[in-house]
Amino acid sequence: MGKTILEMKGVTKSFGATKALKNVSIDLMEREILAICGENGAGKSTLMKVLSGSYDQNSYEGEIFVEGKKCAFRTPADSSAAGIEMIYQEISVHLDLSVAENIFLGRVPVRHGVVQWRQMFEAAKTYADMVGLKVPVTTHLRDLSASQCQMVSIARALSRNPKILVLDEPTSPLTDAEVEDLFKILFRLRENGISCIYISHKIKEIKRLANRVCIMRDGCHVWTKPADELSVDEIVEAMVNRKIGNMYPKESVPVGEEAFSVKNLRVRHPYNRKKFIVDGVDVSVRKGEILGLVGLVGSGRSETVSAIFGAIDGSYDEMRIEGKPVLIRNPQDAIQKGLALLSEDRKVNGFIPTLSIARNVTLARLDKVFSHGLLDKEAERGYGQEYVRRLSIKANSERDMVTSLSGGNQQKVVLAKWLMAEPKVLLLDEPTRGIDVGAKTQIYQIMTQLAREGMAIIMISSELTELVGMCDRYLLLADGKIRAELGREAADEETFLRICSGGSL
Amino acid sequence: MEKKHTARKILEKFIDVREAGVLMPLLLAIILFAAKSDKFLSVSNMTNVLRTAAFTMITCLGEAFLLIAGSWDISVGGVYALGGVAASALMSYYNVPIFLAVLIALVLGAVFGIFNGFLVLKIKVPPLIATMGTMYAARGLCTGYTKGVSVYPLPEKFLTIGQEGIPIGDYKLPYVIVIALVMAIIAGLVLRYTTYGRKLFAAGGNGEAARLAGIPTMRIRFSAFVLTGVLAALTGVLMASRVGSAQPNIGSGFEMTVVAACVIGGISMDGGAGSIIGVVMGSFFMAMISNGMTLIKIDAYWQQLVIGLVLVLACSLEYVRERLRARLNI
Repeated sequence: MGKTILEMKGVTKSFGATKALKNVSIDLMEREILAICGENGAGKSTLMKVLSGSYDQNSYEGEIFVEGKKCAFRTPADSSAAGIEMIYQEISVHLDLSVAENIFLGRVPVRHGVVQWRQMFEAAKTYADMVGLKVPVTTHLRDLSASQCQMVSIARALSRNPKILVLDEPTSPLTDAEVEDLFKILFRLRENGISCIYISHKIKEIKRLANRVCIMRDGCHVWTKPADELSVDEIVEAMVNRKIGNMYPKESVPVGEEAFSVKNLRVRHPYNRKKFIVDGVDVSVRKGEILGLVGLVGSGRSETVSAIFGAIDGSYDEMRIEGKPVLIRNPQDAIQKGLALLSEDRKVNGFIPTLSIARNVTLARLDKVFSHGLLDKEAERGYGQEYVRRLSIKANSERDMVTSLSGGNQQKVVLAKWLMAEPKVLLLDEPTRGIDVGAKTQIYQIMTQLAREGMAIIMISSELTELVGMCDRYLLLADGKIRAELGREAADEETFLRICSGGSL
Repeated sequence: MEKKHTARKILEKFIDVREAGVLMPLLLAIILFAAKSDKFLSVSNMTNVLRTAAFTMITCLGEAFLLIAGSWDISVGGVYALGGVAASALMSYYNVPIFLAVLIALVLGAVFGIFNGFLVLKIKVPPLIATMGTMYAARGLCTGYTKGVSVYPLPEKFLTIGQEGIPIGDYKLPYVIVIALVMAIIAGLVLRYTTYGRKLFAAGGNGEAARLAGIPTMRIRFSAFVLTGVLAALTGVLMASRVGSAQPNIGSGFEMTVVAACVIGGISMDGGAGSIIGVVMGSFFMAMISNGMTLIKIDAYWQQLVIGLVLVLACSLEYVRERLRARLNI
């Protein structure tokens, strides 16, 4: 280590009125692994997009120097030409191409317009060896495991002779043993003179891997310190150092009988059939109780609620609603039995963009607006207006398109749909993601109101402050297993992060 | 100032209406044809146009349901030919009663729909490929079975469906037009006022959101495939009755006319949007444009160019609508 290889100086990036990055400066040394840590929304990914050239240099302020030379990145190709390669969280490989074709994607060696297969296979072999990938380079990626696919992405990055490798949450699809393999590769690369920027939530990993740790919070660079001088607790404290305001109108209401329980819930990993992303989870929640399902991205928290709702395949020993055993095979069953799931990404699966507010609100209970299969326009208008009023959805009329609303109001439409379904148990997956503070507070108020009326709520959130503020009880998940159960009094963000990133109580 | 305001309102309204893409060229074409040819608006010519439109329309109703539900089917050309051949062969070669022969032809259409649905929804073959395959299969069945020879004679009684009409004074309104319009009205009502219609829109607008709201997206799409197959076969049966024989090679390009009529009529290729009134206008437009161009003596060889341009223009409106709205600050 010695020379500085990369410097980003005073980077400020705005999206409309919000500043995603405020005057951020970082530097990276030769033969160094620099970890960047921060909560969701801290600005890590935005900073990396600036570095990768995903944003045109005119769309932000600040300067980038690679090996002392000032760079102007307009496209990802510019960044790649300067020796910077990105490996993203979602594995971005082509499943129906061979290892060699993936490595040389877009740069297949050609002579007189003819692909030089043998030359390509030989070159691919050297890069595959570099990352320790022990399969023939002609193998199709569909036949490889998730970690092997990731090795291919790293090999692809290496084939461009990078000076700097950026890895964004690379371990979320991997098993423990596969994480070890990845670390070995990264250590070897460091010895060979390649520097890494490593983004992760998993603080234990970072402690082992990184030379220095850089903390980001609310779009600002907090500090960068050598990793061996830091404790896990110090890192966590720096990440979450934020005041918990009086945003949370939590009331303690008398908790009633058990509303829902599931035993030994298991869900297979979608890319890696050998791994269980939810691995033997027991959940139980009582009437009037708000249960927080705490975990990092990839911990199996979303899959847990999706499997309960029958939206993805899972298996369990026993499921009960209000004490009665139930069988849920699909969302239809779930709604009928009294479950509702506000899913994670409202744009992808929350609402129907081609239908009006009223028609989205009534979607899960068409029986209420169609009598004998025929539309009752009055009922549709009535329910539409009722929920627009009850959730104070900002719209001119219940006939407006959902797409014409702001994110917060769209989310309220989705929530209205589930309230109209009159569930006994409400599953909320990231109910406040990407919406403004006003709408957030309103959703908290609605949750409190529902709990008071005796509804059982299971809530997932990446905002730990929100969980601390709203829930009565917590199940802490990591790698598909429940690591701890905490009461409201024992809950704080640091404990959450410590346990969910692999630590102990 | 006031005038500008009204003009703007009309423009806003125009952009909002999905069927605007067809309404404008439709009116323009009518005015043009009527001005250039005095025969165009005559009762007999309009009857001709409407009858041609009626055949397209019947299949379009199924295709529209399917497009709205978020998929599509180009096997309709083949199934259309097969429907006619099957019904005619049963009547002509095997003396099967008319009603039964027609029923079997429709069941055959349904079987193709089921097969299409299975390929697209279960096996996940892209709809273009899957239904292209079944289109060839249906055509192959027709030509293989008939060796390319027309099937006739057909029973007199059967021919009345396609050739006769409801007498209104001296005029006879062809049954085919009546059948198509009645079916269009029913389809329009189903789409707007029934749970099934709402589920079609939801399935096509966002399949995953619909599924999570408890709507059996796959079953809804499957039903639309079956309906499309049945209606394509029915169109073939009616055409055989009109022509007096079943032509095994009939209807090449029919699938494209059907999809074009739907899309020109404002049915979204992305699913989740459209109306039956649009489909009616789209079918009418497709029939009228070739009729009108022939009447005003535009070379038949140039007609496809015009149809192509109109198709592209009408569809462009769908895709620039959002941008137009933003530009005009609506």
